[in-house]
Amino acid sequence: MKFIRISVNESKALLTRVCESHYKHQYDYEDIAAIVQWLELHDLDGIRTLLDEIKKPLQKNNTLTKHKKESKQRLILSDNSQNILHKIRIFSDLTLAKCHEDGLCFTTINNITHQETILVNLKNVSVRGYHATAWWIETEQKHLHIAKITPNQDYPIYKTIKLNKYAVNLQPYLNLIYSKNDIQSLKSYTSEHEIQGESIIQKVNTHDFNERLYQKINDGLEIKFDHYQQLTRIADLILVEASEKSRQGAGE
Amino acid sequence: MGNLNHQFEAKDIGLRTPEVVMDLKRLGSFYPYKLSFMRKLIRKLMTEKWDISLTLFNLDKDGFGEAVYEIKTPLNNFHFVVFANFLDPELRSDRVIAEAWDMTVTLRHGVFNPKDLIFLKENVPLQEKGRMTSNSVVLSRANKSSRNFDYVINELSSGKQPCIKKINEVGYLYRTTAVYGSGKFGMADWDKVKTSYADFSEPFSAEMFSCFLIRQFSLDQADHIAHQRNPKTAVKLNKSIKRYIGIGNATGLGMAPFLIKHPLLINNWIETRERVLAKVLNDTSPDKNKLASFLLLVSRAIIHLNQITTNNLTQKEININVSDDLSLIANYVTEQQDKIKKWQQVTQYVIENFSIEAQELINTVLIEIYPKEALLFEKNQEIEEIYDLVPEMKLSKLKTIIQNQYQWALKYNFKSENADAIFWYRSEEKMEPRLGERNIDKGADKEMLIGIARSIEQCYSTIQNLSPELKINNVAEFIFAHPEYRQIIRRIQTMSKTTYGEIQANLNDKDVLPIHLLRCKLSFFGVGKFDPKSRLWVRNTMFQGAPIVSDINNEYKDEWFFPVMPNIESSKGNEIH
Repeated sequence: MKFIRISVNESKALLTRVCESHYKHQYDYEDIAAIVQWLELHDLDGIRTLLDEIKKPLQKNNTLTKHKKESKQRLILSDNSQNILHKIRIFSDLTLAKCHEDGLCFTTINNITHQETILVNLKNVSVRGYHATAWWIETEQKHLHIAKITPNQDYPIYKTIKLNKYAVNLQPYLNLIYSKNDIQSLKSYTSEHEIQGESIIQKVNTHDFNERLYQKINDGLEIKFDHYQQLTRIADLILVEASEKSRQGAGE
Repeated sequence: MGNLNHQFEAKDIGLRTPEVVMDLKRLGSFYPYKLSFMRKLIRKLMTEKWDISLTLFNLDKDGFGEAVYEIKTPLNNFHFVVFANFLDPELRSDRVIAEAWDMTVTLRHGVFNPKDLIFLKENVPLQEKGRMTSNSVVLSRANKSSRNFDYVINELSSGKQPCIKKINEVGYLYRTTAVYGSGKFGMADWDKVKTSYADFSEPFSAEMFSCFLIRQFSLDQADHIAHQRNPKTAVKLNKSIKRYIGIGNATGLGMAPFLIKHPLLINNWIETRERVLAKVLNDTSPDKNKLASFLLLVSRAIIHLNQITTNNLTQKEININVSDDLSLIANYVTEQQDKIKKWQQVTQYVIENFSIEAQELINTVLIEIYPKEALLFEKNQEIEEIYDLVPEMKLSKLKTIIQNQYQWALKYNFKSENADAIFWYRSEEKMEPRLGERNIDKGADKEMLIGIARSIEQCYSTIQNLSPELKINNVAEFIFAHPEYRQIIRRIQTMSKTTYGEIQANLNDKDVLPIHLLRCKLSFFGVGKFDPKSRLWVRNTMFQGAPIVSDINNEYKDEWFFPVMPNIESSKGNEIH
């Protein structure tokens, strides 16, 4: 398979143009690009996720509010489009604001894919001095994913656990708890799996995340040439055809 | 300094208000100053005595071929590789969309390995179409000044020094047309440069250094060609003339989006300048020596302005007017010097009686005569360009911030034709930013988000018109309903904690003058002798008057401010090969 090495800055510029091209100014395209880049820089397949999402039709931005139920410390959201990159930050923001108001917010986002996109948001919770936990189950693989962060950390601890017992046909979901206090109630939930012998198949800590990042800063990112070409094609859609008249618009 | 929360402190220490400083016309009146990046770079390499040697100089009789300069700094080794090629004069263009150049260069980390030359030869001359390795720091190119280059060679080869007045008409032998760093085309990322190559940890210092070496190569190449042409009679270029030869630069609209997209960085640059100025005004008094230094520099600035050659009538008029203003200011200070107890008396007099250009030039002079105070701010403060949303912020608070700090943006009527007549877009030609006329030119549907004033106004208006039934209390809920404003709200929230950073202008206005943006940024780079070619691009000169490589071990006086023509008898060839 052919790869191309690009720098971190090149990836940022390219992804920003791709996101501007696809999401236009309807959404915070710079931030969506930052999410994709964060995932890619930390070996979490950001570019593949973005290319997957781009294949799906984009909802109009005024449809978000139809899928929200709210009570004290509880938020239930639905992502019926199965299209998450442009919404995950908005959902996390809502949870954070509610946590600020109520001291804790437990949010469930139903019908969601690419739940790992939440990982980048956890730092924003942590820098505000809050605790956060996110968890979801990949039913096909029978994998439980758990990410936890405490205040003032750059990265969560992210674990993937192979499940034996809880392999049920659930609709895809993502659960979040943001809290001013340590999230005691969740400890029993997560430890339950560990006690019953389910094996941790992946554990990524701050050191691992940092190493992944520094390697990219030093050497750049190796991305599939095919992905690079697809991204470039989408990015180029924001460019305007050149003409004699347009050259005057640059001072000729 | 640098990062956030200085609004209240700003008033306490006498900083000028953002309404004054961030006015586009004033920003376009800034001059290079003591802490401009070129000045900082030269101070650093002169005081640290960087060892710069020419280790490969494989040029033919016409000056075509390759050259390598090796650089030893206290921390690192770098090498600077030059490819000088024949360029059909018909193809010589300052535009970023050009495809071929007289000279292409790269600055790389490490000791030069001759084995790399083949790879570099295949890639560097291609510029944007080539790929670079992750130890490359800068990629750039330059074109000959057709007016000066041949003239200098002819004079040198016939044993004469070029006429300094003729040199002054242009001021350089080569002109750079793009200088790329920060990870472009596979090069080292800024995060890597500032940590692993700490000699260049100041923003744009690697780019500035590359321009410095392009200038050096232009001088070495000129000596070489003259000698090749006539070894018996040729003389080397006089060192004073060499110092007076800078490196030209052509800057277009590409710089403008950078300023808009990096408001925290711009805040840092401007706040530093304002703090230095405030320190000088508040903490110093004009004694006899300082008044003499002031008058000396003002008279040098007058000569400098009078020696600028430009065909741009507006710029010509500005230079004449500022020069006249400076003469009057000098007269005033001379006459009143016994009564001047505080510099504020001078600045107040200048504010009340003279143009913005003259005001900013005087501020620059004042900073220059107090190096001790200025150099307290020499070290750049690290800026993390993070614009995080504060989702829990009450919408009422956001509204108040906009009303208080973005009043300037709310004063435009974007329903009027002129206020939204211009859009910014990227051309398919090397993604060059261009301006289009709305409803006339193609591309409005692909507009760049450059018009901050318009975005603020739209966001504010949407908040104002929210139905109370929606019960939207905080920013997160507002963005849930209106995700299109997330980007601008992050910016408002972040920038509300800074003093400067937002350029207070409507960049969609029919009569917008982007040249002010360019000049602002160039002044921080240390660029002088602005020669606008239109309202959209400007030629200028870098490093004019600065030391050359052979000066590095000599005593350094940091005085190449407002360079003036050296006093040289043009026909004397005093440095024979």
